[in-house]
Amino acid sequence: MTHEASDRTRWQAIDRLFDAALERPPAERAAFVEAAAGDRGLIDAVMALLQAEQDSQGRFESPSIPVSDVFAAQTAAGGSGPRTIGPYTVVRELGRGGMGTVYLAEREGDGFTQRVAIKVLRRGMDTEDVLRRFVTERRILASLSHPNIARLYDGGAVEDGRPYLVMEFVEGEPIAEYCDGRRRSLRQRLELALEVTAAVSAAHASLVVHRDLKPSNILVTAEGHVKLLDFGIAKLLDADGDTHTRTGLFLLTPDHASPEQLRGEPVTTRTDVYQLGVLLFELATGRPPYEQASRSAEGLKTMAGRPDAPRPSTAAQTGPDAATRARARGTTPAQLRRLLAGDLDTIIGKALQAEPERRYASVEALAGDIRCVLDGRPVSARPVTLAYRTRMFLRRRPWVAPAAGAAAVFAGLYLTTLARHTTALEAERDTATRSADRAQQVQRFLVELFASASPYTPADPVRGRQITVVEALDVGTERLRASLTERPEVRASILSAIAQVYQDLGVLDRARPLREEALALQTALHGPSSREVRDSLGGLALVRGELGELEAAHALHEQRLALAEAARPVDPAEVADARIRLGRHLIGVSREQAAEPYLRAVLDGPDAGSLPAIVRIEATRALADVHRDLDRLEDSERAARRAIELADASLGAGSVAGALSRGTLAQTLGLMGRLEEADALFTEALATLERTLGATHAHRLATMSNLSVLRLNAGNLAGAEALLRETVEAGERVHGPRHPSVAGYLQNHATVLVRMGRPAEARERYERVAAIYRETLDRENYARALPLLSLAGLDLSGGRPVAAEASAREALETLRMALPEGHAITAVAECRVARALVARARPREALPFFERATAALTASTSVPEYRRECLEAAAALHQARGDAATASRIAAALGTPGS
Amino acid sequence: MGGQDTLEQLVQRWTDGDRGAFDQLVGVLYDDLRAMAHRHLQGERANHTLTTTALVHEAYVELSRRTGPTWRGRAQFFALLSKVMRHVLVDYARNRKAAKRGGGDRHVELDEQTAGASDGLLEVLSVNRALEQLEVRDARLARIVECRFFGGMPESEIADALGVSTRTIERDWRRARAHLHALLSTRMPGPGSGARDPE
Repeated sequence: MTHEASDRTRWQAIDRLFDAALERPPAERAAFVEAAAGDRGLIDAVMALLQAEQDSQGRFESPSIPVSDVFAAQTAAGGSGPRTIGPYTVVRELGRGGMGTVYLAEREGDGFTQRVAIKVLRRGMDTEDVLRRFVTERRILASLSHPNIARLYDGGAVEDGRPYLVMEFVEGEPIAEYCDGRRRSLRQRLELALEVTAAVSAAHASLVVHRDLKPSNILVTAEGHVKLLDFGIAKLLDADGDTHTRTGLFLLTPDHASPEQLRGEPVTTRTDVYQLGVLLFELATGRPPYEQASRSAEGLKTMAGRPDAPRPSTAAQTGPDAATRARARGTTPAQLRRLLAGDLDTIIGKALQAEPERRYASVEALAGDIRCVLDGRPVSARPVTLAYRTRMFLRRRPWVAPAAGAAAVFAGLYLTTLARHTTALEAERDTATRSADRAQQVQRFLVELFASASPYTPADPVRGRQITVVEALDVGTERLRASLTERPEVRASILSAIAQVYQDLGVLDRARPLREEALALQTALHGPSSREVRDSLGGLALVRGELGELEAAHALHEQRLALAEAARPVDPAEVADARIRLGRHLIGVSREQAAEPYLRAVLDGPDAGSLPAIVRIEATRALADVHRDLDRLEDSERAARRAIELADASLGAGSVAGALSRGTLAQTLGLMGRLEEADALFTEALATLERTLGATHAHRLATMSNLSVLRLNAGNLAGAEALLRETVEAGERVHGPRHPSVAGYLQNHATVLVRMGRPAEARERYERVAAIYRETLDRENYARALPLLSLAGLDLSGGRPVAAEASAREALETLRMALPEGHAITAVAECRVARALVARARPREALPFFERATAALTASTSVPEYRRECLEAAAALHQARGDAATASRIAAALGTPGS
Repeated sequence: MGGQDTLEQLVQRWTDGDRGAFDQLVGVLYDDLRAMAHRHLQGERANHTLTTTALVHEAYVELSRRTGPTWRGRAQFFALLSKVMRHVLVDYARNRKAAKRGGGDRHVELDEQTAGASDGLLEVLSVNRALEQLEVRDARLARIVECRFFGGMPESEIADALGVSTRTIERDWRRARAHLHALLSTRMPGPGSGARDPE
């Protein structure tokens, strides 16, 4: 054997053992090598390689020499550019632009090489002026230290007198090309744009305006972060600072210039807002807002008066390359149009307003709205409509998925966990605001009413017998139509009282006309800002809010608060009550941050000490909800405990407010994982509510549903099942069988039944839920999809693929309308369609569904069980089709070894 | 540039084992790559970092448009371009290194011990040296390194080029990485310690 050959044999022995050891879990490798190797030398060599494998992770991916340098070097040698600039050695030319030529240069430092970009300005610029401005500005520019802004280091003049600026050299790709090349989705693009706004905002804080923001000035580095080039440079080069000169005009980039720049008017931070609008437009649609910028000075001035830019959603769909542009965003033109229509149209349109004062006042305000879009919250930029708010409200609801096993089925725990007790004020504030006399008349009317409607004469109509109450109220309302017309004051009170009872029972559509009539009567009787009108406004606001007319409700709450504040003398309790209700409303539409100041005003105001206890309790309890929703769980716990303390001390043990406060605390504790404490509190609250409000009161049902979710999460299936069965029955008795609240309880019940291995009972319930939702919810309400997905899951595991496919497709249709693109729930629907198709022996049709679903779920961690279900099914299909590579790639994403 | 037949013939001769054809191929492809790289360096795209992957892909698109579907598949072509890139990078690193030392010696002896990732030139040269040693022991591992490090090819394409599964490539890459790392940090004795051109 030659030396070479023996070396090779030896190496192969080491490598074989090393390869085998790599297949073992890291902890077992050493022992494995020890056991398998004959001699110490072999063991040491393999152990060294194992160590090398650990140490070299991420190494050797690519050479750190930029390829461009390699090829540029060949030509730079013969080029005509400077070889040195100041203390820097020129490596190569980077590019030429309107301002001059940019070079890559380097300087040897203490053991390192500093690379910089040097901009040598073109001839014809006044060197002295530029340098003078540079001296005045340099301190400001040097202080512009932000991770997303390329630094300006230095400046000087080259031998022939041209000024130069030394800047941080940034390796990256222009933002638009970066996004297109990587098929970044709209969301990812907006996230990058937010980095841009952060940088611009920081510069504005240092009073530096960019004035020339455009995609080629915004690079994305290899790490995926944004770097803005040329900050403050435009001003240095502009002879007269902020005023219009030929130079200034010449320096701007027509496609991205704002109208005031084109008109030669002063530049402000809102100029950057406009240019960010252009950037957003281009990132979103792949087109500039205006075609064909003019290059002549005259033409530029004409452009200043050009018509408004088209809507981004329209631009997304127009042009022969619309499909290509949409594909670069991972979507289709129609879908892109849909994603842009609405908020993004409005936001970009507001940034692009021709008049600076109509734009966003600051970059931060623009960024705030982009963030709202990303979080699915309402944006500031539009006059909100009802449908819009509702949609936002639903989108933002958390996706509550139960911990389910392999045969996972969707649960609708989302719905009733959200059941919020509006406020205990209704239940406990009765006579405080009404005269004893009127109360008596109303009571007499009601007693008479019930006596005639039923053989019983309940002592208290609101307690205990709701099933007859609704019927009795119907009869009473009918009878009221003809009676008491000569006593409008009493009539108005009775209308309000009946409306309140309807409302408590969830029969909202009947409550509303009564509230409206009462309001009209009181306006005529007492004047438009009277106490009676204010009370009625509050009642109407509640009922319209519960009916989902959120904008109208919001306006009514605000109107009532304004009237209460303006009333003389002011009743602090009324103002506080109005604030709490407005706060509650805001919490209900997920605007907790907006709600907090109102609640704080109640608790910290000068009259706080003299407010009725119930008002302070309710404000404190609402604050606990705010804290919880904003994830400040400890603050929430503290507030809820304070509410309980207040209630027990001022109202005595067993009050409704005390019970609701316990429910509030229990929800927070549940989120903190303190399940036993939470269960005990819920149970105590339920007993109190049953005693005070009756077994079927809405407050109690909501509490029961919340408790059942808690039990389910704690693994107490039997307890959850019993409670949900009771909730459903009570709900059906109160609301009738086709009410959305009942559907929510049913959905939860069905889910528990699945988990208990009772699919037939579950299926029947899911079907009822789906039917109720079809009747009562909007087509764009994502909740409609949830029972359908559950049915699809059950039918898949029950071997009924045709039915499964139909349900999954119906769910998918709704979800595509209701949720942002690429949402995990939509992906699960796509996966179930695909699984059904596979089960129906139509694997080719299944592939595109799997593809979309795996793309969305690979990155998602929000729904682990569904993610597993989908990726496993997709991998199995690819495996069966002989595409082992794709199968193992998917399996790898799942975190399990491919087979 | 001799026209498409020449390019095709060169590829054919090279795949038949003609080593002279490889040098010619490198020359032809180098010109093409440089022309493409140049287009990237113009005007507004000044600060655009041109990645090897992008360049190699563009070269493929352009060359296959010129030559028609005569390549035996894009993966093989990428593997060839990776070799060209290796050659180009090593050449560049040697020249730059020599220029920095102020001398004209093209073959500067380097101390791999100090070659960290911080210096791209040294890194390219030392990886090339280690790769030469690895080539003698396991040609496939060396090709994988060549495709990945010099050619910027993703694992799936390397798998196609070498006719094995992606999983095998993943596994081999771990081995290759470890061997390279060990070679660079321990200066293992072995053949090929002289500076040789790849292939």
